[in-house]
Amino acid sequence: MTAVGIIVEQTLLYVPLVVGAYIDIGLMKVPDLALSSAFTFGAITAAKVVPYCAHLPQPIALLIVLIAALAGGTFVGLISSTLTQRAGFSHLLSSIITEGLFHGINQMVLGSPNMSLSNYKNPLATSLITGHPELFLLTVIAVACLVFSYLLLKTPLGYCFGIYGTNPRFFDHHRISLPFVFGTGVMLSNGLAGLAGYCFAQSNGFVDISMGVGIPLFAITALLLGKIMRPLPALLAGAAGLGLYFVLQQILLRVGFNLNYFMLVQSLLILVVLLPHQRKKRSAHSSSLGV
Amino acid sequence: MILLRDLCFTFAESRRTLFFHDQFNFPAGKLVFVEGKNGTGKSTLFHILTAQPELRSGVSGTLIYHGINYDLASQEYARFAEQHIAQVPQRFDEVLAPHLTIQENLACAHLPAFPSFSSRVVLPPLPQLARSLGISTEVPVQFLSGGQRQIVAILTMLQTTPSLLLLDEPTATLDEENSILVMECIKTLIAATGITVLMITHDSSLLSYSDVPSLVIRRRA
Repeated sequence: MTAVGIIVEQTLLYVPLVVGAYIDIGLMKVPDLALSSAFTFGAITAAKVVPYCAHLPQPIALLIVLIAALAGGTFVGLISSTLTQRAGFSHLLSSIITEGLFHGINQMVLGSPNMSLSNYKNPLATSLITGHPELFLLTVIAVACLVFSYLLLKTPLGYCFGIYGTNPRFFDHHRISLPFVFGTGVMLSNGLAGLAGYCFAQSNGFVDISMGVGIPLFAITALLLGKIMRPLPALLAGAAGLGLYFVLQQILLRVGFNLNYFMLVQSLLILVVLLPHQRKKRSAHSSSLGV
Repeated sequence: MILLRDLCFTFAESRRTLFFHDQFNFPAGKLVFVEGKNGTGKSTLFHILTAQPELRSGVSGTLIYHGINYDLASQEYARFAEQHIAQVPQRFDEVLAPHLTIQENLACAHLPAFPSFSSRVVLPPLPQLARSLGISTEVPVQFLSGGQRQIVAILTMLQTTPSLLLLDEPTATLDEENSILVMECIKTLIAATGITVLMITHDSSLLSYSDVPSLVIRRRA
Protein backbone atom coordinates (compact mmCIF):
# COMPACT_ATOMS: atom_id res chain seq x y z
CA MET A 1 0.00 0.00 0.00
CA THR A 2 1.26 3.54 -0.78
CA ALA A 3 2.05 6.06 1.96
CA VAL A 4 -1.11 8.01 1.08
CA GLY A 5 -3.17 4.82 1.31
CA ILE A 6 -1.69 4.06 4.74
CA ILE A 7 -2.41 7.60 5.97
CA VAL A 8 -6.02 7.46 4.73
CA GLU A 9 -6.64 4.01 6.19
CA GLN A 10 -5.10 4.81 9.59
CA THR A 11 -6.98 8.10 9.78
CA LEU A 12 -10.30 6.40 9.04
CA LEU A 13 -9.63 3.68 11.63
CA TYR A 14 -9.14 6.17 14.42
CA VAL A 15 -11.83 8.76 13.56
CA PRO A 16 -14.35 7.25 16.05
CA LEU A 17 -11.68 7.39 18.80
CA VAL A 18 -10.84 11.03 18.13
CA VAL A 19 -14.53 11.98 18.00
CA GLY A 20 -14.99 10.26 21.39
CA ALA A 21 -11.89 11.91 22.81
CA TYR A 22 -13.13 15.27 21.51
CA ILE A 23 -16.33 14.83 23.52
CA ASP A 24 -14.86 13.83 26.86
CA ILE A 25 -11.28 15.17 26.83
CA GLY A 26 -11.78 18.15 24.50
CA LEU A 27 -15.27 19.35 25.43
CA MET A 28 -15.91 17.98 28.91
CA LYS A 29 -12.24 18.35 29.96
CA VAL A 30 -12.35 14.96 31.68
CA PRO A 31 -8.94 13.27 32.14
CA ASP A 32 -10.21 10.00 30.73
CA LEU A 33 -7.38 7.46 30.84
CA ALA A 34 -9.98 4.69 30.58
CA LEU A 35 -10.20 5.41 26.84
CA SER A 36 -7.44 2.82 26.41
CA SER A 37 -9.49 0.17 28.26
CA ALA A 38 -12.55 1.10 26.19
CA PHE A 39 -10.50 0.81 22.99
CA THR A 40 -9.31 -2.68 23.95
CA PHE A 41 -12.52 -3.96 25.53
CA GLY A 42 -14.62 -2.75 22.56
CA ALA A 43 -12.28 -4.64 20.24
CA ILE A 44 -12.36 -7.78 22.41
CA THR A 45 -16.16 -7.78 22.77
CA ALA A 46 -16.62 -7.44 19.00
CA ALA A 47 -13.89 -10.01 18.29
CA LYS A 48 -15.68 -12.53 20.51
CA VAL A 49 -18.88 -11.95 18.50
CA VAL A 50 -17.24 -12.21 15.05
CA PRO A 51 -17.08 -16.08 14.96
CA TYR A 52 -20.80 -16.32 15.76
CA CYS A 53 -21.65 -14.00 12.85
CA ALA A 54 -19.86 -16.09 10.21
CA HIS A 55 -23.10 -17.61 8.87
CA LEU A 56 -25.11 -14.38 8.90
CA PRO A 57 -25.63 -12.05 5.91
CA GLN A 58 -22.90 -9.39 5.90
CA PRO A 59 -25.03 -6.31 6.78
CA ILE A 60 -26.50 -8.09 9.81
CA ALA A 61 -23.10 -9.44 10.90
CA LEU A 62 -21.64 -5.94 10.55
CA LEU A 63 -24.46 -4.39 12.59
CA ILE A 64 -24.11 -6.94 15.39
CA VAL A 65 -20.33 -6.60 15.54
CA LEU A 66 -20.43 -2.79 15.59
CA ILE A 67 -23.08 -2.82 18.33
CA ALA A 68 -20.89 -5.22 20.34
CA ALA A 69 -17.87 -2.92 19.95
CA LEU A 70 -19.90 0.14 20.99
CA ALA A 71 -21.43 -1.76 23.93
CA GLY A 72 -18.00 -2.96 25.11
CA GLY A 73 -16.59 0.57 25.13
CA THR A 74 -19.76 1.99 26.69
CA PHE A 75 -19.52 -0.57 29.51
CA VAL A 76 -16.03 0.69 30.38
CA GLY A 77 -17.42 4.25 30.44
CA LEU A 78 -20.28 3.11 32.66
CA ILE A 79 -17.85 1.66 35.20
CA SER A 80 -15.51 4.67 35.31
CA SER A 81 -18.31 7.27 35.39
CA THR A 82 -20.16 5.33 38.11
CA LEU A 83 -17.00 5.24 40.23
CA THR A 84 -16.69 9.01 39.82
CA GLN A 85 -20.34 9.80 40.48
CA ARG A 86 -21.26 7.23 43.12
CA ALA A 87 -17.99 6.64 44.97
CA GLY A 88 -16.98 10.30 44.73
CA PHE A 89 -13.47 9.66 43.33
CA SER A 90 -11.85 12.13 40.98
CA HIS A 91 -12.27 10.89 37.43
CA LEU A 92 -8.51 10.51 37.10
CA LEU A 93 -8.52 7.99 39.96
CA SER A 94 -11.69 6.32 38.66
CA SER A 95 -10.15 5.83 35.24
CA ILE A 96 -6.91 4.46 36.76
CA ILE A 97 -8.98 1.96 38.81
CA THR A 98 -11.01 1.11 35.67
CA GLU A 99 -7.76 0.53 33.79
CA GLY A 100 -6.68 -1.97 36.43
CA LEU A 101 -10.05 -3.70 36.48
CA PHE A 102 -10.21 -4.09 32.73
CA HIS A 103 -6.63 -5.27 32.44
CA GLY A 104 -7.83 -8.38 34.29
CA ILE A 105 -11.27 -8.54 32.64
CA ASN A 106 -9.74 -8.30 29.15
CA GLN A 107 -7.47 -11.26 29.88
CA MET A 108 -10.36 -13.26 31.31
CA VAL A 109 -12.68 -12.55 28.35
CA LEU A 110 -10.03 -13.09 25.69
CA GLY A 111 -8.59 -16.16 27.42
CA SER A 112 -5.14 -15.52 25.90
CA PRO A 113 -2.99 -12.42 25.26
CA ASN A 114 -4.27 -12.16 21.69
CA MET A 115 -6.73 -13.65 19.22
CA SER A 116 -6.51 -13.87 15.45
CA LEU A 117 -9.47 -12.66 13.38
CA SER A 118 -8.08 -13.78 10.03
CA ASN A 119 -9.77 -17.20 10.27
CA TYR A 120 -13.24 -15.67 10.29
CA LYS A 121 -15.36 -13.81 7.72
CA ASN A 122 -14.47 -10.10 7.85
CA PRO A 123 -17.68 -8.08 8.47
CA LEU A 124 -15.95 -4.88 7.29
CA ALA A 125 -14.98 -6.32 3.88
CA THR A 126 -16.74 -5.28 0.66
CA SER A 127 -15.66 -5.45 -2.96
CA LEU A 128 -16.66 -1.85 -3.67
CA ILE A 129 -13.10 -0.48 -3.58
CA THR A 130 -10.65 -2.76 -5.35
CA GLY A 131 -7.41 -3.43 -3.56
CA HIS A 132 -8.72 -2.51 -0.13
CA PRO A 133 -11.84 -4.43 0.94
CA GLU A 134 -12.34 -2.49 4.20
CA LEU A 135 -11.86 1.06 2.96
CA PHE A 136 -15.49 1.67 1.93
CA LEU A 137 -17.05 0.65 5.25
CA LEU A 138 -14.31 2.36 7.27
CA THR A 139 -15.17 5.57 5.38
CA VAL A 140 -18.89 5.07 6.06
CA ILE A 141 -18.23 4.47 9.79
CA ALA A 142 -15.94 7.53 10.06
CA VAL A 143 -18.39 9.81 8.24
CA ALA A 144 -21.32 8.45 10.30
CA CYS A 145 -19.42 9.15 13.55
CA LEU A 146 -18.62 12.71 12.46
CA VAL A 147 -22.18 13.46 11.30
CA PHE A 148 -23.77 11.86 14.38
CA SER A 149 -21.50 13.82 16.74
CA TYR A 150 -21.99 17.06 14.82
CA LEU A 151 -25.78 16.69 15.15
CA LEU A 152 -25.49 15.56 18.79
CA LEU A 153 -23.54 18.68 19.75
CA LYS A 154 -26.47 20.84 18.51
CA THR A 155 -28.86 19.12 20.93
CA PRO A 156 -29.47 20.08 24.60
CA LEU A 157 -27.30 17.15 25.73
CA GLY A 158 -24.51 18.25 23.39
CA TYR A 159 -24.66 21.77 24.82
CA CYS A 160 -24.41 20.27 28.31
CA PHE A 161 -21.19 18.42 27.40
CA GLY A 162 -19.62 21.79 26.56
CA ILE A 163 -20.98 23.41 29.70
CA TYR A 164 -19.56 20.57 31.83
CA GLY A 165 -16.10 21.51 30.56
CA THR A 166 -16.41 25.20 31.38
CA ASN A 167 -18.65 25.33 34.47
CA PRO A 168 -19.83 22.07 36.09
CA ARG A 169 -21.58 24.08 38.87
CA PHE A 170 -24.05 25.30 36.23
CA PHE A 171 -26.10 22.10 36.49
CA ASP A 172 -26.90 22.42 40.21
CA HIS A 173 -28.24 25.94 39.73
CA HIS A 174 -30.42 24.94 36.79
CA ARG A 175 -31.54 21.61 38.31
CA ILE A 176 -30.01 19.58 35.50
CA SER A 177 -28.80 16.09 36.45
CA LEU A 178 -25.00 16.24 36.59
CA PRO A 179 -24.59 12.43 36.83
CA PHE A 180 -26.72 12.05 33.69
CA VAL A 181 -24.69 14.57 31.68
CA PHE A 182 -21.35 13.24 32.93
CA GLY A 183 -22.31 9.58 32.57
CA THR A 184 -23.71 9.88 29.05
CA GLY A 185 -20.71 11.93 27.89
CA VAL A 186 -18.13 9.47 29.22
CA MET A 187 -20.08 6.40 28.05
CA LEU A 188 -20.60 7.84 24.58
CA SER A 189 -16.94 8.71 24.11
CA ASN A 190 -15.82 5.35 25.49
CA GLY A 191 -18.31 3.62 23.19
CA LEU A 192 -16.76 5.38 20.21
CA ALA A 193 -13.29 4.38 21.45
CA GLY A 194 -14.53 0.76 21.56
CA LEU A 195 -15.74 1.09 17.97
CA ALA A 196 -12.32 2.39 16.88
CA GLY A 197 -10.71 -0.48 18.79
CA TYR A 198 -12.68 -3.00 16.75
CA CYS A 199 -11.93 -1.24 13.43
CA PHE A 200 -8.23 -1.29 14.33
CA ALA A 201 -8.29 -4.95 15.38
CA GLN A 202 -10.24 -6.09 12.31
CA SER A 203 -7.97 -4.14 9.99
CA ASN A 204 -4.88 -5.70 11.57
CA GLY A 205 -6.44 -9.16 11.68
CA PHE A 206 -6.00 -9.73 15.40
CA VAL A 207 -6.94 -8.37 18.81
CA ASP A 208 -4.35 -7.96 21.54
CA ILE A 209 -4.78 -7.06 25.22
CA SER A 210 -2.03 -4.41 25.02
CA MET A 211 -3.45 -2.66 21.92
CA GLY A 212 -4.84 0.22 24.03
CA VAL A 213 -1.48 1.34 25.45
CA GLY A 214 -0.88 5.04 24.78
CA ILE A 215 -4.34 5.61 23.28
CA PRO A 216 -5.24 8.69 25.44
CA LEU A 217 -1.88 10.31 24.59
CA PHE A 218 -2.42 9.55 20.91
CA ALA A 219 -5.95 11.03 20.99
CA ILE A 220 -4.75 14.20 22.76
CA THR A 221 -1.95 14.62 20.19
CA ALA A 222 -4.43 14.31 17.32
CA LEU A 223 -6.80 16.84 18.97
CA LEU A 224 -3.95 19.30 19.54
CA LEU A 225 -2.73 18.93 15.96
CA GLY A 226 -6.34 19.56 14.96
CA LYS A 227 -6.19 22.93 16.68
CA ILE A 228 -3.63 23.99 14.05
CA MET A 229 -6.33 23.27 11.45
CA ARG A 230 -8.73 25.88 12.83
CA PRO A 231 -10.91 27.59 11.55
CA LEU A 232 -12.13 24.14 10.48
CA PRO A 233 -15.15 23.12 12.61
CA ALA A 234 -13.83 21.50 15.81
CA LEU A 235 -14.87 17.94 14.96
CA LEU A 236 -13.45 18.09 11.44
CA ALA A 237 -10.31 19.69 12.84
CA GLY A 238 -9.90 16.68 15.15
CA ALA A 239 -10.15 14.31 12.17
CA ALA A 240 -7.76 16.51 10.18
CA GLY A 241 -5.36 16.49 13.16
CA LEU A 242 -5.48 12.73 13.00
CA GLY A 243 -4.50 12.84 9.32
CA LEU A 244 -1.65 15.24 10.09
CA TYR A 245 -0.46 12.88 12.84
CA PHE A 246 -0.09 10.02 10.37
CA VAL A 247 1.52 12.31 7.78
CA LEU A 248 4.15 13.22 10.42
CA GLN A 249 4.55 9.55 11.26
CA GLN A 250 5.17 8.67 7.60
CA ILE A 251 7.67 11.51 7.20
CA LEU A 252 9.60 10.35 10.28
CA LEU A 253 9.50 6.77 9.02
CA ARG A 254 10.91 7.84 5.67
CA VAL A 255 13.83 9.72 7.25
CA GLY A 256 14.72 6.55 9.14
CA PHE A 257 13.24 7.43 12.55
CA ASN A 258 12.65 4.46 14.84
CA LEU A 259 8.87 4.48 15.42
CA ASN A 260 9.38 2.79 18.80
CA TYR A 261 10.25 6.28 20.02
CA PHE A 262 7.16 7.89 18.49
CA MET A 263 5.41 8.16 21.83
CA LEU A 264 8.31 10.35 22.95
CA VAL A 265 7.67 12.59 19.93
CA GLN A 266 3.96 12.77 20.85
CA SER A 267 4.74 13.88 24.38
CA LEU A 268 7.25 16.47 23.16
CA LEU A 269 4.71 17.74 20.67
CA ILE A 270 2.10 18.15 23.42
CA LEU A 271 4.66 19.96 25.57
CA VAL A 272 5.57 22.35 22.76
CA VAL A 273 1.92 23.17 22.05
CA LEU A 274 0.75 23.44 25.65
CA LEU A 275 3.70 25.11 27.43
CA PRO A 276 3.13 28.62 26.04
CA HIS A 277 -0.58 28.41 27.00
CA GLN A 278 0.31 27.20 30.48
CA ARG A 279 2.84 30.02 30.96
CA LYS A 280 0.27 32.59 29.82
CA LYS A 281 -2.29 31.16 32.26
CA ARG A 282 0.24 31.21 35.13
CA SER A 283 1.26 34.81 34.50
CA ALA A 284 -2.42 35.85 34.29
CA HIS A 285 -3.01 34.14 37.65
CA SER A 286 0.01 35.91 39.19
CA SER A 287 -1.18 39.32 38.01
CA SER A 288 -4.68 38.64 39.32
CA LEU A 289 -3.09 37.99 42.71
CA GLY A 290 -1.29 41.31 42.50
CA VAL A 291 2.12 39.58 42.37
CA MET B 1 -47.42 39.23 49.28
CA ILE B 2 -45.25 36.35 50.49
CA LEU B 3 -45.35 35.69 54.25
CA LEU B 4 -43.02 33.62 56.41
CA ARG B 5 -44.62 32.61 59.68
CA ASP B 6 -43.03 31.10 62.81
CA LEU B 7 -39.70 30.50 61.13
CA CYS B 8 -37.40 28.47 63.36
CA PHE B 9 -34.01 27.15 62.35
CA THR B 10 -31.21 25.51 64.34
CA PHE B 11 -28.03 24.02 62.88
CA ALA B 12 -28.10 20.29 63.63
CA GLU B 13 -24.38 19.95 64.45
CA SER B 14 -23.56 23.14 66.38
CA ARG B 15 -27.07 23.48 67.92
CA ARG B 16 -26.84 27.17 67.05
CA THR B 17 -30.24 28.84 66.56
CA LEU B 18 -30.54 31.46 63.81
CA PHE B 19 -34.32 31.93 63.67
CA PHE B 20 -36.87 31.41 66.44
CA HIS B 21 -40.56 32.02 65.65
CA ASP B 22 -39.62 34.87 63.33
CA GLN B 23 -42.16 36.51 60.98
CA PHE B 24 -41.19 38.07 57.63
CA ASN B 25 -43.35 39.81 55.00
CA PHE B 26 -42.19 40.32 51.44
CA PRO B 27 -44.50 42.76 49.57
CA ALA B 28 -45.27 41.73 45.98
CA GLY B 29 -43.49 43.56 43.19
CA LYS B 30 -40.99 45.23 45.54
CA LEU B 31 -37.27 45.16 46.15
CA VAL B 32 -36.59 44.18 49.77
CA PHE B 33 -33.04 44.53 51.05
CA VAL B 34 -31.81 41.97 53.57
CA GLU B 35 -29.25 43.45 55.94
CA GLY B 36 -27.32 42.10 58.89
CA LYS B 37 -23.82 41.35 60.07
CA ASN B 38 -21.89 38.30 58.87
CA GLY B 39 -23.15 35.07 60.43
CA THR B 40 -26.61 36.35 61.34
CA GLY B 41 -28.32 34.03 58.84
CA LYS B 42 -28.94 36.07 55.69
CA SER B 43 -27.63 33.40 53.33
CA THR B 44 -29.22 30.67 55.47
CA LEU B 45 -32.59 32.40 55.02
CA PHE B 46 -32.04 32.13 51.25
CA HIS B 47 -31.10 28.46 51.60
CA ILE B 48 -34.29 27.83 53.59
CA LEU B 49 -36.37 29.65 50.98
CA THR B 50 -34.83 27.60 48.16
CA ALA B 51 -35.50 24.41 50.18
CA GLN B 52 -31.91 23.17 50.29
CA PRO B 53 -32.20 19.51 51.36
CA GLU B 54 -29.30 19.68 53.87
CA LEU B 55 -31.16 22.33 55.93
CA ARG B 56 -34.61 20.81 55.85
CA SER B 57 -34.20 18.73 59.03
CA GLY B 58 -33.52 21.79 61.20
CA VAL B 59 -36.25 24.05 59.85
CA SER B 60 -39.87 24.63 60.80
CA GLY B 61 -42.43 27.28 59.90
CA THR B 62 -44.86 28.17 57.14
CA LEU B 63 -44.63 30.10 53.91
CA ILE B 64 -47.91 31.63 52.77
CA TYR B 65 -48.26 32.43 49.08
CA HIS B 66 -51.57 33.45 47.47
CA GLY B 67 -53.35 32.21 50.62
CA ILE B 68 -51.86 28.72 50.44
CA ASN B 69 -49.79 27.51 53.40
CA TYR B 70 -46.63 25.49 52.76
CA ASP B 71 -44.78 23.70 55.55
CA LEU B 72 -41.14 24.72 54.99
CA ALA B 73 -39.87 21.23 55.87
CA SER B 74 -42.20 19.46 53.45
CA GLN B 75 -41.59 17.95 50.03
CA GLU B 76 -44.55 19.98 48.79
CA TYR B 77 -42.67 23.18 49.69
CA ALA B 78 -39.55 21.91 47.89
CA ARG B 79 -41.66 21.49 44.73
CA PHE B 80 -43.15 24.97 45.23
CA ALA B 81 -39.68 26.49 45.68
CA GLU B 82 -38.44 24.76 42.54
CA GLN B 83 -41.21 26.41 40.50
CA HIS B 84 -41.55 29.81 42.14
CA ILE B 85 -38.21 30.81 43.69
CA ALA B 86 -34.96 31.49 41.83
CA GLN B 87 -31.62 32.52 43.25
CA VAL B 88 -28.58 34.17 41.74
CA PRO B 89 -25.68 33.21 44.02
CA GLN B 90 -22.94 35.60 45.10
CA ARG B 91 -20.63 33.92 42.58
CA PHE B 92 -23.03 34.73 39.76
CA ASP B 93 -20.75 33.22 37.09
CA GLU B 94 -21.78 29.81 38.42
CA VAL B 95 -25.18 30.12 36.72
CA LEU B 96 -23.65 30.98 33.34
CA ALA B 97 -22.05 28.92 30.59
CA PRO B 98 -19.09 31.22 29.86
CA HIS B 99 -18.41 29.98 26.32
CA LEU B 100 -22.01 30.52 25.15
CA THR B 101 -23.72 33.72 24.02
CA ILE B 102 -26.46 35.41 26.06
CA GLN B 103 -29.22 33.80 23.97
CA GLU B 104 -27.68 30.35 24.29
CA ASN B 105 -27.42 30.86 28.05
CA LEU B 106 -31.09 31.85 28.20
CA ALA B 107 -31.96 28.75 26.16
CA CYS B 108 -29.98 26.50 28.52
CA ALA B 109 -32.00 27.80 31.48
CA HIS B 110 -34.99 25.96 29.96
CA LEU B 111 -33.26 22.59 29.77
CA PRO B 112 -34.92 19.70 31.62
CA ALA B 113 -33.19 17.61 34.31
CA PHE B 114 -32.35 14.98 31.68
CA PRO B 115 -31.46 16.89 28.51
CA SER B 116 -32.57 15.28 25.28
CA PHE B 117 -30.28 14.23 22.43
CA SER B 118 -32.98 14.14 19.78
CA SER B 119 -34.00 17.78 19.48
CA ARG B 120 -32.16 20.99 18.75
CA VAL B 121 -31.65 23.82 21.24
CA VAL B 122 -34.18 26.57 20.50
CA LEU B 123 -32.89 30.08 21.13
CA PRO B 124 -35.45 32.34 22.89
CA PRO B 125 -35.91 35.96 21.75
CA LEU B 126 -33.48 38.40 23.34
CA PRO B 127 -35.10 40.27 26.26
CA GLN B 128 -35.73 43.96 25.59
CA LEU B 129 -33.64 44.84 28.65
CA ALA B 130 -30.49 43.18 27.24
CA ARG B 131 -31.03 45.01 23.98
CA SER B 132 -31.54 48.39 25.64
CA LEU B 133 -28.42 47.93 27.77
CA GLY B 134 -26.43 47.22 24.63
CA ILE B 135 -25.21 43.82 25.83
CA SER B 136 -23.42 42.17 22.91
CA THR B 137 -25.31 39.15 21.63
CA GLU B 138 -22.56 37.87 19.38
CA VAL B 139 -19.78 37.13 21.86
CA PRO B 140 -19.60 34.48 24.61
CA VAL B 141 -20.69 35.91 27.96
CA GLN B 142 -17.16 35.46 29.37
CA PHE B 143 -16.16 38.53 27.34
CA LEU B 144 -18.83 40.79 28.90
CA SER B 145 -18.14 43.11 31.84
CA GLY B 146 -18.87 41.96 35.40
CA GLY B 147 -22.04 44.08 35.56
CA GLN B 148 -23.28 42.78 32.22
CA ARG B 149 -22.60 39.18 33.29
CA GLN B 150 -24.54 39.78 36.52
CA ILE B 151 -27.48 41.05 34.45
CA VAL B 152 -27.27 38.02 32.14
CA ALA B 153 -27.20 35.79 35.26
CA ILE B 154 -30.37 37.47 36.56
CA LEU B 155 -32.09 37.21 33.15
CA THR B 156 -31.07 33.56 32.96
CA MET B 157 -32.60 32.73 36.34
CA LEU B 158 -35.77 34.62 35.37
CA GLN B 159 -36.33 32.31 32.40
CA THR B 160 -38.38 29.97 34.59
CA THR B 161 -40.65 32.95 35.50
CA PRO B 162 -40.33 32.72 39.31
CA SER B 163 -42.43 34.80 41.72
CA LEU B 164 -39.53 35.50 44.09
CA LEU B 165 -35.95 36.27 43.06
CA LEU B 166 -33.16 36.02 45.62
CA LEU B 167 -29.97 37.99 44.98
CA ASP B 168 -26.98 37.39 47.24
CA GLU B 169 -24.87 40.57 47.20
CA PRO B 170 -25.09 41.04 43.42
CA THR B 171 -22.94 44.17 43.47
CA ALA B 172 -20.28 42.95 45.93
CA THR B 173 -17.63 42.37 43.27
CA LEU B 174 -18.59 45.23 40.97
CA ASP B 175 -17.29 48.79 40.65
CA GLU B 176 -19.65 51.75 41.13
CA GLU B 177 -20.54 52.10 37.44
CA ASN B 178 -21.44 48.40 37.12
CA SER B 179 -23.31 48.44 40.47
CA ILE B 180 -25.54 51.26 39.18
CA LEU B 181 -26.10 49.33 35.94
CA VAL B 182 -27.20 46.23 37.87
CA MET B 183 -29.48 48.16 40.27
CA GLU B 184 -31.17 50.02 37.40
CA CYS B 185 -31.69 46.68 35.67
CA ILE B 186 -33.30 45.19 38.81
CA LYS B 187 -35.63 48.22 39.07
CA THR B 188 -36.62 47.87 35.42
CA LEU B 189 -37.26 44.14 35.83
CA ILE B 190 -39.49 44.65 38.87
CA ALA B 191 -41.51 47.32 37.02
CA ALA B 192 -41.84 45.10 33.95
CA THR B 193 -42.63 41.75 35.59
CA GLY B 194 -44.01 42.55 39.05
CA ILE B 195 -41.58 40.08 40.60
CA THR B 196 -40.60 40.30 44.28
CA VAL B 197 -36.84 40.59 44.80
CA LEU B 198 -34.97 39.88 48.04
CA MET B 199 -31.44 41.20 47.95
CA ILE B 200 -28.70 40.75 50.53
CA THR B 201 -26.41 43.76 50.73
CA HIS B 202 -23.80 45.35 52.96
CA ASP B 203 -23.75 48.52 50.84
CA SER B 204 -25.94 51.18 52.46
CA SER B 205 -25.65 53.44 49.40
CA LEU B 206 -27.98 51.05 47.55
CA LEU B 207 -30.85 51.34 50.04
CA SER B 208 -32.38 54.27 48.14
CA TYR B 209 -33.35 51.85 45.36
CA SER B 210 -36.12 50.42 47.56
CA ASP B 211 -39.24 52.13 48.94
CA VAL B 212 -39.98 49.44 51.53
CA PRO B 213 -38.14 48.91 54.84
CA SER B 214 -35.16 46.57 54.82
CA LEU B 215 -35.35 43.23 56.52
CA VAL B 216 -32.68 43.44 59.22
CA ILE B 217 -31.51 40.14 60.67
CA ARG B 218 -29.82 40.40 64.06
CA ARG B 219 -27.58 37.94 65.84
CA ARG B 220 -29.56 35.86 68.30
CA ALA B 221 -28.17 35.91 71.86
